Formats: sequence, C-alpha cells, structure tokens
Amino acid sequence: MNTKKEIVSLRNVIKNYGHGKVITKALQGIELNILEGDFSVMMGPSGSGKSTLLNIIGGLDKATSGEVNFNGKDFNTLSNKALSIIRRNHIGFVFQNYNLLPVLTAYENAEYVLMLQEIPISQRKEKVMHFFQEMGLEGLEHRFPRELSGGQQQRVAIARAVVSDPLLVLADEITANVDSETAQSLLELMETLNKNNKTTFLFSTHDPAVIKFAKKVIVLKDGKITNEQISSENIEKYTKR
Amino acid sequence: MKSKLLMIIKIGWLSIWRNKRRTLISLFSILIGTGIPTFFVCIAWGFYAGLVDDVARLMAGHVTYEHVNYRNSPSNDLWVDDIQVINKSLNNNDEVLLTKQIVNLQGVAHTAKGSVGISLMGIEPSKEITISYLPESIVEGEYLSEGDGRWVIVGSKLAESLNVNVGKKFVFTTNDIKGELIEELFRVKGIFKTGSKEIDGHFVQSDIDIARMVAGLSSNDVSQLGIIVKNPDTHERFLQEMQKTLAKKNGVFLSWQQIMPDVATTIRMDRTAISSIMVLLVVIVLFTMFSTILMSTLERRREFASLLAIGTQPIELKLQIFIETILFGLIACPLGSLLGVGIAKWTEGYDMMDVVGGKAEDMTVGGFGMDTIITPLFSIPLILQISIFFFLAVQLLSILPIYLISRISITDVLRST
Amino acid sequence: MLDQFSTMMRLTIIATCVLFKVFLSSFAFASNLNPEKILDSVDDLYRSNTSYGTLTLSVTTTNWQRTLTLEQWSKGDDRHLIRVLKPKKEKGLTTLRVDNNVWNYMPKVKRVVKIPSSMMASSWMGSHFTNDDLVKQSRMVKDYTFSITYEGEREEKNIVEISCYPKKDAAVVWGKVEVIVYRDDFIPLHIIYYDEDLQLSRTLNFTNIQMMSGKMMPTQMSMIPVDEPGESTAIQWKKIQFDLPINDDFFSLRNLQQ
Ligand SMILES: Nc1ncnc2c1ncn2[C@@H]1O[C@H](COP(=O)(O)OP(=O)(O)OP(=O)(O)O)[C@@H](O)[C@H]1O
Ligand SMILES: [Mg+2]
Repeated sequence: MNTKKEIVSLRNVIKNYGHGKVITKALQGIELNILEGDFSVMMGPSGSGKSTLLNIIGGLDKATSGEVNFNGKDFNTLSNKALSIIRRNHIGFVFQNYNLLPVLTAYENAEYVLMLQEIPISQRKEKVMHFFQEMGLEGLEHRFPRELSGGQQQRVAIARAVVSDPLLVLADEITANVDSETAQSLLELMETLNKNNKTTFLFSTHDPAVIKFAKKVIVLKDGKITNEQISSENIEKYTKR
Repeated sequence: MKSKLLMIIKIGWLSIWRNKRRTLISLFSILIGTGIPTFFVCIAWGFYAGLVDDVARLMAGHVTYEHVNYRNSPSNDLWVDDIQVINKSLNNNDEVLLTKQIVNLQGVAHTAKGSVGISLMGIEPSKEITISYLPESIVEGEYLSEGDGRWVIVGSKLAESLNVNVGKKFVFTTNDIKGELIEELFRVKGIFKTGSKEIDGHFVQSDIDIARMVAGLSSNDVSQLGIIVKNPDTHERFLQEMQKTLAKKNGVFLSWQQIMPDVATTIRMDRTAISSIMVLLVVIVLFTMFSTILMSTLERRREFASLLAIGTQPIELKLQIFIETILFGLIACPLGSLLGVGIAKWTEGYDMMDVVGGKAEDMTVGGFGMDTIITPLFSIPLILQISIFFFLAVQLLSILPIYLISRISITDVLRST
Repeated sequence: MLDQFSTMMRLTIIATCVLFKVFLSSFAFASNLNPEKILDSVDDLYRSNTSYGTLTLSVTTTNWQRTLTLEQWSKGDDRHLIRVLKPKKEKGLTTLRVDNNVWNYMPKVKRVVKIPSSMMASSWMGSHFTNDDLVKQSRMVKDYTFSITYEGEREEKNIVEISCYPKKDAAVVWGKVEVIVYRDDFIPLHIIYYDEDLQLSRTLNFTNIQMMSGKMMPTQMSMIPVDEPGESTAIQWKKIQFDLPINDDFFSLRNLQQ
C-alpha cells in the first residue's frame, strides 16, 4: 500500500549530442525515479537538459547509455514502432506551442488519440466530454484551434494528453506561451487531474509559479541532477531564460 | 479501424483545403492536364473514325478479300477462285453491311494536253451510292449508274491536268490480264471533289463491267472484294473468322490497315503525337503539383512531429498524405475528363478550317482528305485511360512527402520554433 | 545519273520510233483522190515492207539541245530495232519493239529492260511526243472518219487536205487530224493535230524532198508543239533502203544483246 508503483526509472543515463570533436554532453548520468501519482517539476537553467530528459523518458529520443525503464519496459531494447505504440497508449504529451491539428475542432483534437486507439465512439464521446467539463471547455467543442485563446488551446492540448488515461503526462514548458493568470489556472487544472485521476505529471519549466504546485522538484544543472534546494536566493538562476 | 480510416481521410481532405489558392492552382493544372488530351483525343479520334470509315467505304472496305499476291504486285491477272460463292456467303453474314466488287486498273490517262498516271476502280454504282461519299462529292455532271460503259467520273484535279470537262474524252492505257497493252477511250460523266490531292488527282471510277472488259476479266471476276462491316471496331476479329472459315487457298482477308498502311501509319503517328502532348502536360502538371505537395508537407512538419510524438504511427501519416493526393486526383481527373469532353462537345459541328485556318486540301491522311467538320468521338475507354494516366501520375507525387515523413526527427522538429 | 540518262535515251529512241512511224505512214501513193485509199495505202505500204536506214534526231527544248545519230531496222507494222551510233557515250544503246512490247538494251551494264506500260503511255519528259504513238496499232482508216476538205492551191502548192475525225469510241486523244499531201504524188506536207476542242495541238512538217532508194520522199520531218513555243524535235534521214530481206529472228531479244 505504501509502495507506489514505479513508472519511470533512469539509471546513469547519459546523452551526448554530435560526434567527433564537438560533443555536447546534454545529460551526464541521470538517476531518477517517477512514481505513480507524482506531480514533479523539473527546473534548471536553459541548456541544462530538461527537454532532452523529457524526450528520453517519452521515448522520442534514445539515451547514449544508461538504463531507461518505463513501466517495466527497457526503452533501449524497443523498436521505434514499439515506442510509438507505448506513447500512444501510455504517455501524454503537452507542448509549449500546443501543436493542435488546425483542421480539427477542439473536440476532434481531443478525440484523436482515442481514435488511434480504436476506442468505440460512445466511449470516446464519454471520455472527451468528461474532460471537457472538468477543464471548463464545454461549449468550445466545435471551435477550431484558431478560434481559441492560447490558454484554451493549451487546455485542449492537455485534454488530448490525458483523455486516454496515460500512465504519465510529459509537459515541456507548457506555460511559457501564456500569461501568468492562465498559467496559474492551467496548473490548477492539472493539479486537480492529478488528484482526481491519479494522473502522473512531469513538467519542465522556467516559471517560478509552477514550483508551488510541485510535489517534487528536480533540479537540473549541466546535465546532472543536483541536490541544491530551490530557495528565494537561488531561484533566479533557475528561472531566467 | 473504420473510424480511424475515416478520420485519416477526413484529415487528409481537410488538409487539402488549408491553402485554398494553392490547392485550386494545383487542381486547375490537373484539370487542364487531363482536359486537353481528352479534348484532342475526342476530336482526333472522331476525325479518324470518320476518315477510316469514309476511306474504307470509298476504297476496298473495312476488310478486303483478294489474291494472296495482290498486295505485292496489284496486277490484273490475280483474281481469286470462287469469288461469287464467297461473296454470297458474306452477304448472308449478319455482321456484313455490304460487299463491294472491285476491279482495279493501274494505268495512264492521256489527252492532247497531257498524261497522268491514274488508278481506275470499277464498281457497282447502285451499291456505291449507298455506301460511299464519292456520289455526294460530284461537283459537275453526274455520278455513275449501272451500264454506263465508257462514261466515268474523275477528280477535279485530274480534270484540270487533263483539261477535260463533263462530256470530254481521254484515252486510258493499261495492261490486260495477259499483259497486253490496252488503250481505251473514256468519257467524263461527272467530276468529283473530295479535298484530297491523291483522290482528286489520280482516281477514276467506272462501272465494273467496262473495267472487267478492259482488263479482260470474265463477268464474275474481281480484283478485290471489299467488305463493309456494320461495326468497324470489331473488324479484326471478323477478319480472323472469315480467314478461317471462308478464305480459299489463293485468297486472303486483309484489314484496311493492311490495305492502306499509309493511313494506318499516319493515324498511329498522330496517336504518338497526342501521347507526347500528354507526356508534356503530365510534366507541367507534376511540376505545379510537386511544389504544392512539397510545400504543404514542409509547412506541416511540426504538426506531423507532434502527431508522431503522441503516438501516431508513421504509416498512418503516410496514408494520410497518400489519401491527400488520391483525393486531389479524384477531384481533378474526372473533372478534367468532363472538361475535355465538354469542350469537344461544344466544338461539334464547327469546321476545323475556320478555327485553325488553312485549306481543307492540306488536311490529308495517307493521301486521303479529311472531313474537316468536327465530329468528336467519345470513346469511354480512351477517356478513362487518359484520366487514369493523370491520376496515377499525380499519385507518384506522394512518394516525396512520404519519404520526407519517414525521415522526420521528432525531437529536432519539436525543438525548433 | 546513269539511270536518268538512260531514261532519256530510252525516251529519245521511242520518240524516234514514233517519228519514224509517222513518217512512213505519211507516204501516200494513191492513184486517185479517194481519201480512204490515200490513208489506207499509207498503212498498207508501210505494213508489208522492211526498211533499214540511218538518221539523226535533234531535240530542242528551251533548256537544252541534243542530237543523236541512229540506225534503224523495221519489218511490217510491229517490228522495230533502233541502235545509237553517236554520240560515243551512248553508242550501242538499243531498243527493240515487237508488237506492244518494248525492250531496252544498255551496253554499259549489259542488261535488257522491258519498258512497263505506264512508261509506254506517258509523254516524253516534257517533250513533244507521246510514246503512245509508237505502239499504236490502229490504222487511220479504222479509228477515224475522214473526208477531203480542200483540194487545190495553197501557199503556191497543189495540195489535198484530208480531215480525219476520230470515231466515237476510238482510243484517240485528238479531236481532229488534218493530213495535207501534195496532190500529184501524195507526198505529205503537214499533219496537223487538234485537241478535242479543235484547238491546234501540234504540227508535223515534212520538208527536204529527195530521191532515196529510188523514191521521192521528204527526208526531214519536225514536230512542233503549240504549247511550248520555240521547242521542236526533228528527224533527218541520211540513208534509207526498202525491201531488204530481214528475218523475223532479227527482231529478237537475243539479237538485241549483240
Ligand atoms: N539535437 C541536438 N544536437 C546537438 N545538441 C543538442 C541537441 N539537442 C539539444 N542539444 C544540446 O543539449 C543541451 C541540452 O538541451 P535541452 O534542450 O535539453 O536544454 P533545456 O534544458 O531544455 O533548455 P531550455 O530551457 O532552453 O529549453 C543543450 O546544450 C543543447 O544545445
Ligand atoms: Mg527545453
């Protein structure tokens, strides 16, 4: 009961970009565990490797070395196709620029992954409408992304990410393009989702406002996780862009 | 599965219209690309069908029965056994409209003014009136009738070079079946004008009896038996059947293509020309389309990357692109065909010479004049062929975006803003 | 080049035959002024005789002028052999006619070629004869109706003019042929050809009457077409002998090649 399920575990993950003389050591021996129901925020200066780490956890990128384990599966041994299926079924992504399909309505965007999963129409409707209500998107179902504000678009993107009940939602700088009020409400929304649905979240952010929502803060510096605690003195360092 | 496919089709369809102007330009190019050759083909095939039928009826039929050696040396001593028996059974055949008994004589016509090599064709005037356009082409005097004897009809050009009018005479020199030189007097009963240099300048028709007499043939013999079939499209099969069932040892059934290779070759060459036009148009269409499809793929790279990130299979994206080009083709190609057919229909009945200018006499195929009134022929298989050809060509274009998608690096694309 | 040349030669020879025949058939030794007798006697006289002679043939066109010296044999109406003597280039070129068939022998390539009917009937390369006349078997009497249309003085000569009109179905291109002979001896002066519209088409003139082989005859004959002013073809007899014994075998393909 008290041991939560481990969704992600990274052991000594190293990621180098480039080859030959110019090698960027983006990640240098990451050790990380993410447990079911976590609401973790990853902070760190620009270039510290946050996006790289999220991509590796999400199976979009492969680690140069080290162990990447997702829900008991070793990502290093999986094919791209297998990774793609894991993403479809178990991982939700939210991006900084929303990346909604402009030709589909809000509702259809959210429904998209369920379609890929070949979930019957009645269930799809139920699920999408459930999250739309929870996220205050009722009445906007038939709008196209261009007819929505940034915050609304990002909420649709979050709905798309969570609607298929993923084990983990990865969110890379999702508040960067919206004002602080909207950011606040987005975070509140996700906090609620975390509480109600036990959805596990992993954020990367520069936004100090995000930290107060975090159950767990991971601090990245030069591709390493540091033990440095975030305080009012050093927060500047992690939040400047 | 079904709803997924429907969704992919829907996304594809909607994606096409994201840039309306660009899409319309591309659609227009396919429309024109398909429409122009369709138009040409309808017009040209109409001309050819008309021409072939006219010429077949004027000359030796769609299918001709003659001596096996007649092609090599059309001399008068080559006639076929039992021709009247064959003639009779042909006339009882349901597929046959009519048979023409023909006696051909090559020789020289001369008057005090000059001499011209001519080809004299002896026919049965009463039949000829029902099948050939020559009787309607008489501009002076009258067409032949049975028992006309030495009265013949000549072309306007021949009349000019021999300096003869209706009622005037010329001497015809030829060889009879024994190879003896024969000279006979003929008189002009009528002068025809077909618009063809060859026909108007070197063709003479007479009643078959006088031609037989001149050649020294008996009243049953012919040089050729011309067969006018009811459906010219199936003449090849008909020919094969007749060759198997009817032909005598020294006789052979030949198609109009074999009898008039010049006409057949010119038509074939013209078909090649139309094919080259098509290839050229395809190139133009593909160029226009290529940039459209390339642009629309490149500008959606971020979208594709995020779709891939959230678990869309690459094959599903490729399918979407593929469906986009299919939809492109499905909209434009049939419309293009309709456009071509429409224009062809619209020009029906116009005289081509009014449109392109020039003289009708210059419009000859293998020496035969063409009717320059536009009477398009709408051959559905041909129109479909063109449409499908362009459709498939457009499909080729999806190869490039599909390739690009398979090379997409999700992280790189997502990182770049 | 050789081909073109030999074609020209061939045509020249044919033309010679034509002229020769017209020439011979123009002799008329009749005893009265019955036109049929005049014309018929021409044919009959010609038919039963053999002849041998040498002549020159001159063709004048607006572009060129050439002269050939020829040697010729004939028997009856249907056998002719003609051989070129001069110029040197064409020496030996021989033409044989038997009935309706004409063969050429070309010494350069040692080959005999039969002239096709289309060639026989076509006109001579824009020249003044139709080759047709050569092989024509018809007798004037058979193909034409005729009558004496003038008798008496014309151009200080005492002449007879016979007008010949082709019969309805006769294979004749002319509309009328006028034969004009001296009234005394029926030696021809002119043969004038008219087309169907009775427009003058060509004129054959006989001149230079001399004694040859014991006969008075015009030794020169020229054809003047109406259409081509300034052009003409002329034959000049150098020597002629009649009624020599010549075998039929002489007019054979075998002899042609010697
Ligand atoms: N494809 C790549 N090729 C080479 N170097 C790369 C590549 N992607 C990232 N890097 C480098 O790896 C390091 C980590 O990059 P990453 O994007 O993870 O940083 P980040 O913490 O997300 O920064 P930011 O806060 O600006 O988004 C940086 O130095 C970056 O330049
Ligand atoms: Mg980043």
